Parts: sequence; C-alpha cells; structure tokens
Amino acid sequence: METYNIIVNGLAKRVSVDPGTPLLWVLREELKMTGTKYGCGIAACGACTVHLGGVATRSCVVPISLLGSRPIVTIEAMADDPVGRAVQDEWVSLDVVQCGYCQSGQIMSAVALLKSVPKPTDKEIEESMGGNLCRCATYVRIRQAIKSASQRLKT
Amino acid sequence: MMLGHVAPSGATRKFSTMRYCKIALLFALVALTGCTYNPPKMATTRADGLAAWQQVYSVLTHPRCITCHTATDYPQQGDNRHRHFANVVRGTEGKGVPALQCATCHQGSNADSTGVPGGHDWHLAPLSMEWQDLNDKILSSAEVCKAVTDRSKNGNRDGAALLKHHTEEPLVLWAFQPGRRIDGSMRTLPPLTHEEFVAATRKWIETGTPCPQTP
Amino acid sequence: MLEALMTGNVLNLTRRSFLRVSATAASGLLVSLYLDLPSAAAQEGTAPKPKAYPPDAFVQIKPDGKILITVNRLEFGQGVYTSLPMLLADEMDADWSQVIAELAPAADVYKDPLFGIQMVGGSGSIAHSFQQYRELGAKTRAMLVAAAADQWKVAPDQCRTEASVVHGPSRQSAKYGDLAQAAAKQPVPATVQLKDPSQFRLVGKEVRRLDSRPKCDGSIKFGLDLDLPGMKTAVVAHPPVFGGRVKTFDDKAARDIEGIRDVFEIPLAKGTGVAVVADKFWTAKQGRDRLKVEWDLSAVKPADSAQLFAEYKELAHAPGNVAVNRGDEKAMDVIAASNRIVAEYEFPYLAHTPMEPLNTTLRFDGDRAEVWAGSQFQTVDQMAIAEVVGLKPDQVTFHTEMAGGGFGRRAVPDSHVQREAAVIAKRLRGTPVKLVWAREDDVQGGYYRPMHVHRVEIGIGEDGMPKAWRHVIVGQSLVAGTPFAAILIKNGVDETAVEGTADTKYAIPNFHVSAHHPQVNVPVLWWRSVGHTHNGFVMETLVDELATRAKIDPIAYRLKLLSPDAKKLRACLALLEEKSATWRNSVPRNHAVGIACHESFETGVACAVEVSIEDQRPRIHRATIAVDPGVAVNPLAIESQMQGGVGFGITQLMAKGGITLKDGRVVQRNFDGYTPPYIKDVPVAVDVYIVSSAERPSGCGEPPVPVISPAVVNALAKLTGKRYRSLPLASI
Repeated sequence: METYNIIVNGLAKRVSVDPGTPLLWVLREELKMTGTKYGCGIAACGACTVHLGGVATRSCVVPISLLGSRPIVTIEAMADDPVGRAVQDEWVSLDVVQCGYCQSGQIMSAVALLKSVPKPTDKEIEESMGGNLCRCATYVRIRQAIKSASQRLKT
Repeated sequence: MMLGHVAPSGATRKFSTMRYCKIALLFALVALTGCTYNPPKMATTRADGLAAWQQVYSVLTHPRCITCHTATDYPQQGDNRHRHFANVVRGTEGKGVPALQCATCHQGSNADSTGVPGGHDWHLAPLSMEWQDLNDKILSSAEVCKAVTDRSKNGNRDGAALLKHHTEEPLVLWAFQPGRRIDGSMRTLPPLTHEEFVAATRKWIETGTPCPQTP
Repeated sequence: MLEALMTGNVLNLTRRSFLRVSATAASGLLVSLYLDLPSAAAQEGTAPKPKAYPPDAFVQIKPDGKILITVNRLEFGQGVYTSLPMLLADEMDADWSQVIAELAPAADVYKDPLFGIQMVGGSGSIAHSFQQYRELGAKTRAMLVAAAADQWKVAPDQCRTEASVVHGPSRQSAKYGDLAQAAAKQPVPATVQLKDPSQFRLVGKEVRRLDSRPKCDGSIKFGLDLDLPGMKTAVVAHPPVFGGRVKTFDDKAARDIEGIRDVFEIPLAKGTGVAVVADKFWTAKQGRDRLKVEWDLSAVKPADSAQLFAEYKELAHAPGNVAVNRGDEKAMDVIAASNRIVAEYEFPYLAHTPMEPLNTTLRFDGDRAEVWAGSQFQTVDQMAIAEVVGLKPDQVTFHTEMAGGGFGRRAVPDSHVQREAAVIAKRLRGTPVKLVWAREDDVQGGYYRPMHVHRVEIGIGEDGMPKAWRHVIVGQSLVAGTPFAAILIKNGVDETAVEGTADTKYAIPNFHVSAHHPQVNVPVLWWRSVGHTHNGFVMETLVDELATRAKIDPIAYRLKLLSPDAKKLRACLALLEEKSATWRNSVPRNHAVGIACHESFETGVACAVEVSIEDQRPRIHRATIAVDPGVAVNPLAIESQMQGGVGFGITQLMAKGGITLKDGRVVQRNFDGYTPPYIKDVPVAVDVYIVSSAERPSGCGEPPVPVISPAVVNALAKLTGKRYRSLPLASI
C-alpha cells in the first residue's frame, strides 16, 4: 500500500492503494466514481477512457504508480467542458446510446478528437474512434454525432 | 571509418612526396567509395564486421524491435508479430491519432501489473526505418543494412550517432527490459544483451559498417 | 393439459405457446402451459380470462406532476425503458416531459403476459406488452377522469384529457398530480376503450430515449457500479474444462494480499470452483491470479472444435430427426447431379460479450435475501437463488438493474451466475457480496451460440427454381435438459436450432429438414436471433447462389420464390427495391451489392449492402434496410435496433469472430483473441425504412441480425467469385 496524491477533475484526492492498481479501479473503488467503465481490462475496448494530462488514456492499464503529477479528467467533468457538453448534447439529440455502457469511453474519445481536430474528416473520426468497442453497434450515430458536435462548436 | 598510419611491408623508409600523395589519394578514394580498408595491425577484418552486423541484424529483426519498425500504418505485437489490436494506427508522426495515441496506453515505463510495455515517448519508427515490407515480411540482412546506413533514411546518423542511438535511446533500451505480459510471463528477450548489442554495433561501425552483398 | 405434460406426452403446440414456471415443493421447476393468446383473440370463447394488471403497480403519479412508469422487463439497450412508457403515457394523455421510468423488481404482476415469466427475450417486449401497457394507460386515464368528474359533478364522457390535465365541460381543469389521490380510490375499470391510432400523440412518432443523458454524463448506474455499505467483491476461479472439479488449491499467496477476505471452494452449475472474496475487485482479481489450483478433469469430456467439426460433418451425411417433410422425399433422386448444389456450412461457437461484464450483488440475511442484477430472466433467477439459500422465492427481493447489453447472455435457464453469487452470499451471511465475472471469465465461460454444420442438397429445375431441398442441421440443443424442452423440442428436434430454415417463407417444394443434436460438454445459450443466426445465413446465401445461377436479379428471384402469403417479406423487398434504387445500380467499380431478406420473430427485414474489399476485409459502405414490424411504436428506436442489429450481426464475419476449443480448453481469452466489430467493421451508413402497417407490432431487437452476414457475403461473392460457407470469415 502506498499513498498517492492525485488531481481528479480539478480536485485534489489522496488514495492509499497498491502501486500496481490501475487508475480505473482507483477511480471506481477508491473514489467511487463509476462513470468510467470496466469492459475488458486490457485496453482493447476503450470503456475506461479518461484524459490524463490532456491525453485520451485507457485507465484500465495505467497503474497509479505511473501517473506522476498529470491531472486526470473523467466523464463526470464533461458536462462542464464546452466540447464535452456539445458532444453530450449531440449524443442526446441524435439518440446515440442504446445500453450506454461504452458511451463514457466513446464520449471521452470523441472529446479528445475534437479538442485536437475541431473539424475532423470521416477518416479522422473513424481512426480516432477505431478502438472504442460498442456491442450494441451504435457506430452509425456516433459518426453523425461527432460531425454535428463539430458543427455546433464552430459557431 | 578509421584512418591510421599505414606502413606497407617492405616499403623504404624514405617516402617521396609523390608517394605520400598517392597513398593519401588511395585513402581518399577508399573513403569516398565506402569500402573498408582494414589495417592488418588491428584484429578486425571485413569478415569480422559482417559478423558483427549479423549480430546487430538479429536484434533489429527480433520482435521486440521490429514490431515498431513496420512499413504499414500499424504497429505489430507479440512474438508472432500480429497486427496490434484495437485498430491502433500510425498517425502522421508515428504516435497514433488524437483519441488513440500510443500514449493512450503506453506510459513511460512498463506497467507489469497490467501487462502493457512502456518506455519514454513510445512511438513508431518512421517509415524510412521500415525493416519489413508491406506484407509484414522481414527484409533481408542486406536490405536492412543498406537502410540503416543510408543517412537519408536513418535520421541522418553517422556511425557515432548510430552507436549512440543503440546505446542510449530509451525505446532501444526498452527492448532489453520489455516487462511482463498480462499473464505474468516475461516478454521474450532479443538474442543479445544490451551490452553485447552495443559491442556488436561498435565493432560493425569500427570496421566501416560493412553490408552483406547478397540479399 | 397439465396431465398430458406430467405423463410425458408431447403436445403439439406452436412456438408461441407460452409457459408458466413455478417452484414446486420438491425444489424443481414445474412447467405448466397456457394456450397461445394473441391479443386479438381475447374475444374467443375458448381463451382463458385476460389477466388484470393493477395500474398502481405500473404507474405512479407524484404530487409534483412527475409520472413514474414501471417497466416490466430489463432495459439492456433495446429501448423498452422508453417505448413501453410511451404506450402507457399516450393512452393516459400524460405530459411526456414529466414521465420518468424505472425497472420493475421481480414480482408476479410484472411477468410477460404471454410467456408467464418475467423476462425479456424473443424480441417480445412490444409484441407482448403492447396491449397491456396501453390498457394500463387507458385505465389510469379513466380513473383520473372519474375522479375529476366526481369533483365537478359532471359525466366522465363530458371531460377530455391532454398533457396531464383533465378538462371539464365548463372550463374546469385539474392536473393529474392534484387528482392522483382521488383517482387511486376509484375502481379500476374492467374494460377500457383504447385510442384509435389517429389519436396517438407519441406512438408512431420519433421519441427520444428517456435514459440518454445519464448514460452520457457518467451518472447512470449499471449493476457493476453498485456500491453498498460493507460490500465485498468476489471472483471465482472456474475449471479450465467445463464441469471440472477442484482437486486441491493453495491460497497462501492469495491470502497474503492485503484486502483478501476469504478463499473457498464452491459448487458450480457443473463442477466446482474457488471463490476469492476481497474488499475490492482489483484485489480479488490479484488474489485469484495467485491461486494455485489443481483441477480434477478426469470425469469430464474435453470438447475440441476440430474434432467436433469432423464429427458433425459425418453426422450431417445422414438425415436426423425430422423437422419438416413436405412433398416427395424421392423428388431429388430424379434430378441429375449437374442440376444439384451440395453445400456444407460450418459455424463456430459465438460468445455474446455484452460490454458490461456479468455481475450480481446479493445479501443473504437468513430469513430473507436481496439481490441486484441486470437480469433478463428475473423469475427464473429468483427461484434459483431461493433454492440455493433455502428460501421461498418471495423471500428474495430481486432488483432489476440497468444492464450494459445482454443479447441473450443474461437469460440463462440454469441461472449459473446467480447461483455462484448465492452460494458465496450464503457463506458471507449478512454481508452483501458483488460477484464479478472478469472479461476473461466471460469469453472463456461458455454459454455460447452453439457451433453448427449444415449440409444442404438442392435439386434445381429448368426454370432455376429449387425443385427439391434436403437440409440436415447438426448442433447442440439449447433447451434440452431445461424446463423449456417440453415446449421447444418436438420429435427430437430443438426448434431453436432449425428456425429460419424449417419455417422458411420460401415456397420450396419437396422440402426435407432434419436435425441432429449431439451432446457436447460445452454450455450453450441463445445468441441474439438464436437459430436464425446460422439458418438465415445458409438460406440467404443459397437462395442468392440459385439466383446467380439462374441469372435472375436477387430481389426478383426472392419475390418469385417466396410463398404468396409471405406478406411482410414481400412488402420489405418492394420497399427495399424502391429505397435503394438511387444507388443499387450505380455502385463504383470494385464495389458490389449484396441482398438478403429474412423473417424472424414475426418481423420481416430486407437488406441491401454496398461492399468493396479494403485491406483484405469487407468494407461496407452502406446498408439500406426495409423492415416490417407491424405497427411502429417508436420509429427512432426501430431505426436504432436495425442499425445496431446489423452491426451486431457483423460479429459473425469478423476474422477473429469465433470461439474455439482445443482439448477442452477455450482458446480465446479476451477481445484480443475474440474480436467483435469496431466502427470500421460495420456499415458506414445505415438507412432504415419502415413498412407502413396496422398489424399488431412484432419485435425489432433480433430480426436485423440474420440478414447482414449473408448480404455482405453475397456481395463478396460477386467481387471474388467465391462462395463463403465457413464462418468466421478468416480470409476473403
């Protein structure tokens, strides 16, 4: 067990866990923040995506010992982020979700894309979202929602 | 290529200027053509250099290295060098794409508790440093040697810079401490230790970076 | 009827006969039978009395005007959380903006009206609860009006309702929230007048989901997100070969980890395993990784995919138990070999892998138990838990949690996951325990869509139409050994293995279908669209092959071969032809069009795809879908099910889209070895067109799944000239 001071959504948190504990489980079980999901544990599905130091990161494979001082931003903060809010609003407007379990990760990936490329092409959308799994296959509307969020943001 | 004093056997002690010039011209020609002229006083020969290269080649084409020296827009994974899962792609700078970067999973050091390898600034080697073809087939020793010694492809590195790359580059070092897989087993190591790899590189460079002729 | 069952006679019932499952004193499951009850037949004298549902179990009007509607089945993506409340709210004339929903706990009143158990599956939610939820809404409205009418001393039929307000004949008005208490005291009407479709305000409109926002902002709680005071988390080490038993285990290294609470052997549905209980999931998983278990595999038969395929192919050479025998069995004999097609198909085991790993939280307190689970099978699960902990089902409070996908994986006749949780909770008495199946447990844990071999021989007439058809299907029975066997196995044929072929809408003369059901040591389960997953593929690729051979357009050929009364498929094909006309005949070079149509769960679907080959994989540029689900309750939801269903169906075509066993062990571990479709694997665009219909609604969850794989493969056949009869599509 070791103690770590981390910044989550702008707030300082202190946790005591085994150094090998993935950030995902620190968020879910130490901080009780369950918006970030466990889908596979091997970074193959993206359900666990957070932003770590501004980079879309799969929290299920990052042990807390490798975090350093990089701030963490999770899905719970997206409503207060202009890009996050636009993405969420388009997701709702286009009725993207079905079961919804993968959508925290989808949205975090989409936000990372739009923050980096405000007007992504179809190819850029497909590549950046290419590693996020959705068993309900909501992909068709995900593509549409990213494009319309991009439109919404440019005005 | 090292230039040293040559004392042709049986030569008279007194050299005319002309002879000095001839010898100097010979050296210059040798330097320009890239052939190695191995001073017999040193234990190294072209054969030694080629043998050293084969050792270097065996490391470069080991899965721990070659999985990031691809010709395609994707990295490989594993000892069987299958295409990296989750549709990870190269991106414009070899670091992935905005929401799916190398850094999305790969941190600055190995994450043994989750089975993800890591090293400083994890990224793909540029396409100019491809050691495979577009069908993921490993290039021959001659082809890889040619590419590694081509300064328009190797990041403009001369011998000393190549040696420095092999000695210090974090992702090269990573190959020799590649961490554990998720099942707890150690990743397979290259056929040489890092020290041996550096020594082989040095020997190859000292002998003038000879490349095999036949593919 | 019951006597007939108990004496073991097989009853000749249609698939839509439903069953009631109840516990017996001898702790078994008694399956009793009710007759088919389509809603229109309620007037028939022979039908049992229609059930009466108390509105207050389904709708609560709060004083602030919020209307809470209870949904009688699991929401796991298909949209019932919105569509069933729509039905009720529309008949009730509720203000939709005030409607909220909740998932019903396990209780008699929430049982599926047709199937008699609380469940979701068979694409039956709207189909079976359409009438029910409408009546509930209409009755609630009637009671609100009666209360208002009482207050105003007017006749109820002088009042009208709109957006949660009752309006009287002389400008009186009262809000539902204010009338609720008085309304509750009104007698529940025995019958009600339902709206004429022209009066619908919500039904038939594109209504957005009620659960979108919480699913987008991280606030929704799935079963896996549950956190109770004092809760522990458990994982179970399962035997590497199904049915194996623990011989010995060494837990010293596991117990050394801080936070590990207990390690003990538990019985499983088959065999035994080792439970690891810890404070947190990560700890439990680390503990399990450090367990050293010696397994006794001596008593179980190790299944091996290669061996099984060889055995199945052998079996397929002879007819099995007969499912259909129409026409002349000897008709094939007079058809020359050059006019025959003989085709052999192979299908692997498929895992469901819903995004939310399986989990159940349970607390056992001695005289009662409480469980939280995203279950598709509440009645069955509740009974199983009660049996394990030694209680009566009604002593088990069963909360239905929002689930991250299911596709059939959460509807398990043996309730094996719930049983594991119950065993652990019983030992932990008083402490709630969350049992979690890690993704590896899920991929390796069985309950797959079974592997199948089909052998089909078709005799072709001069007109290119089939003149004789012999079809042998080999695959494990899904329901043998479960209470569902009595309904679904006839003449030794498991209906779920032959559906899509045996009940084909094609008018094929001299049609002979039979099945073999080998017993294999691999647990199997229904996978979204069940038997249609493989039967649909076989039928639609063979029909396409026949069309190509006859040089007839694939849509025209199907229209010709379909029986005249295949109304829904005919309507779908006509609509598809119309809506794909803009692109179907002008695709670029190196692109091809593939067609497929299939009817399942009483819904017809036709599909056209545009495919090219990129990076040695099929690239699906678009799909146009025409669907006939009867009355379309929520077109937006139907579109999402069609889009999602075809995306889900692509699982069958993925290069790593199969589960294989070697010497009893499942080869694949996680999504790296068993890889479902990502965004680039599914059609870029999916346009959906709904046939206009006034027929009673049928389902949309499963019907799109069977059409996409054959449609894509039919397109590939045009590009490569090859026929694809072995899934998954490892190479093209």
